[in-house]
Amino acid sequence: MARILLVEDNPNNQNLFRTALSHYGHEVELVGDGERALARVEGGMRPDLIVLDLSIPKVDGWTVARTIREHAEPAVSKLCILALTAHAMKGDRERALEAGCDDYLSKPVSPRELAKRVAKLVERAQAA
Amino acid sequence: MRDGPQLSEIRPPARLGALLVAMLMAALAGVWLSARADVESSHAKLRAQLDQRHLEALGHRVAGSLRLAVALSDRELADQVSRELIRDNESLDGVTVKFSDGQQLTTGETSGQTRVVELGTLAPSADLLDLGDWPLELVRAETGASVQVYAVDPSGFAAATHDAGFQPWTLAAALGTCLLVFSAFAAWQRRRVLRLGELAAAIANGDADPGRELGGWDELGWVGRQLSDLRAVFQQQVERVHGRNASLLRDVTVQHDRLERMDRFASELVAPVSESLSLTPALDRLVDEADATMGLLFVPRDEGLRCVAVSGLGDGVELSDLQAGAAARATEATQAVSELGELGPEHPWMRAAGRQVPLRGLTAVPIRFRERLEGVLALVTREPLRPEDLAFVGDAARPLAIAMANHSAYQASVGLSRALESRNLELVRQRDELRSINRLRAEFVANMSHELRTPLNAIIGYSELLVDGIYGEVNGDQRGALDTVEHAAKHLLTLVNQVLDLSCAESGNLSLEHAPVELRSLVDDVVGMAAPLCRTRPYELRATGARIEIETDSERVYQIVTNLVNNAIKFTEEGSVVVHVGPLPDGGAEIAVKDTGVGIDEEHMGIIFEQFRQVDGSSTRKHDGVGLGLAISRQIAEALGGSLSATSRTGAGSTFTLRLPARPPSSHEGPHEDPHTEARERLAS
Repeated sequence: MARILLVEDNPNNQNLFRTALSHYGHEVELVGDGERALARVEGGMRPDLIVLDLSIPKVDGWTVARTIREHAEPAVSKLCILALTAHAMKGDRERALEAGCDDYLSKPVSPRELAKRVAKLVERAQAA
Repeated sequence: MRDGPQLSEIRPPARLGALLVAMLMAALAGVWLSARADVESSHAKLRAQLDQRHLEALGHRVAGSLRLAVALSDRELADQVSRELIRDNESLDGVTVKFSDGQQLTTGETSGQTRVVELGTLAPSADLLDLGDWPLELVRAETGASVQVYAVDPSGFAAATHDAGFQPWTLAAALGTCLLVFSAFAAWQRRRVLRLGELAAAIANGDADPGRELGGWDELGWVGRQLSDLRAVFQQQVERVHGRNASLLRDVTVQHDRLERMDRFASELVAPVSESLSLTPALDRLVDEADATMGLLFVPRDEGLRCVAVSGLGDGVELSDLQAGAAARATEATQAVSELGELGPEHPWMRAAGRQVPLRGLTAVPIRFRERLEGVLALVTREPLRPEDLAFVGDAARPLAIAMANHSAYQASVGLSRALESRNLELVRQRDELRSINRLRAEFVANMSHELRTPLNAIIGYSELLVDGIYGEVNGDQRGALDTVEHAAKHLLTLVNQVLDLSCAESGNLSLEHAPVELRSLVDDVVGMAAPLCRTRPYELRATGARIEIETDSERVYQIVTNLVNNAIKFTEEGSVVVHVGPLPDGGAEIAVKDTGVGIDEEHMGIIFEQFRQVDGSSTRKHDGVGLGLAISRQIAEALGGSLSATSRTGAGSTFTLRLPARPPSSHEGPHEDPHTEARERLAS
């Protein structure tokens, strides 16, 4: 039901998340690092939701989030971001929110959990 | 003290009073005599006048009595009457009647010293009672008779004092003379009184020679003598005071000299305490002030007295070669010990100094500070020390002792501070080591948990997908198998999380998010989530209690309550597990999980909150678990500002109570670094 940009580097997680989300009807595009994520956005992709793992290579999740938030184009800066943080370390949540993420889930995230949260966010975004 | 003034020294005749009285009496006598003379003369005059009058009266009376006889020229009658008259009148001595016929009759004394009162002639016609003045002519003409009356002059005054009277100038002369004499006397006494005053003033001024002293046997002389005595005594006292002053001045000068010497010496000791205290300058000064030839300073060490400073031995002397010798006697003494003997040229000190001429005075002074012997000072002089020099040396020992005590105290403190410093360094090193161990551990744990979680994630994830039929339909058996896999994996994940949590909690790095939390609904959630676990148990699980809102980390509270409820369920076969929410008096709340399970005996109550401990430690125990739950739960409870405690009785069940404050404690980020953050940073770099 929604277009989702999935930014995740771990192969297992990639498969799990993509499978689960697709199963629930979302259109999932997967990129494996931050550089590619930004490229897609710059290239004109406007997903309904970005599921962003914060610990990704090349350009890390925080930078991606910040870059998107500070983008000149409103369509970009208003993109909805769901961050996947590492297991509740001090400051990770705060940093994620500070960087501009709309919501977060702490890893490990089960596919079921992810699907549920995505549904909620999409519903909210579409209602707005 | 001489005897008091003796008033008997004043001779009475000389008494001023006596003199005054005498003079007064003389004056009075003079006045009286002159007055009396005057009175006598006037008296005599008066008497003469009286006599005259008397005689005249007498004459008249005689004449009167004889008139008849005269008139009758009766000689016998005249004689008779004359005798009667002479007899009756004392002052009448004789009468001579001259008759008219010229005949004369004399009766009585008519010679000698008599006064004659010639009465003239008697006139027969005169009234006998009236004897006033008769005109003489008349009488003569008539009768030609006369009466002469003779009386002896009783008072000798008559001739002598006929011009005498009470003359004013005699009185004046007498008074004047008295006045003069009295003035002269008064002036003389006044001079003496003034002289007394001068003498007194001279004494007050302290004149050495006041001049003539005042003598005399009267009161003033007496005072004069007292003054002289006073002056003598005064002089004596003054001389005595002078003498005392002179000796005091000498004493003070001696003391002053002593103090000056001490001052000069002590100024050498007043230097800031430092590592290298050189006592040599002070020793040099001391030797100089004491007029000594050589000075040696020894300090007590384990092996005996060791020389630390010398003066007067020349350069290049090896101090360690010098032994204390006889001076060691001072270690037992409390005062300087002098006359320790002569130093001949063969004496080691003399040889070290290269001296030939023997020195006769050796004095050893113990340098004590509050009973403790700081050192011994040995002074060598040409002759044994004089008392004042010995006193000086004794005095000097005190500040020297203080300086040496200060120095050794300072050295001790320096040593102590060095020891402390090295210990500090050691401790810092240990701390840093511990910190890095902590860091490494945190890193390790973070790594391990990450490593462990990643495969678990895959297991859980794929199990979920399979169970949810995403990879195709699954039948009942398959679902059951997959459920088991999922649960086991989740259980394993929980354990991994617990280990990480514990590591976080122990190093104080739990991240907590505080927000208002309504506890009853939270407890309801927990109970709801745990309900499936009880499906196999024949008892009830329920939540009770009030709706209470506090500010805390809901996720963590959820974690703890879940842990407690799971434990309760685990250990309860039948009966009930009740989760009750209640308020605390300070505004906080408590959540009590009460079960009717096997209970915990007293022995184990102590260990249940310890890590990795379980009541049943056997390998075939009924209840699995690593034993971290309660330890972590308690840590987290405390991190939330609350507490976790338990009460129980074997066979009767247990109650675990979580208490939470209304508000979380203020942030207590420790001064230490966050090892986890550091670990991540390290991984990132």
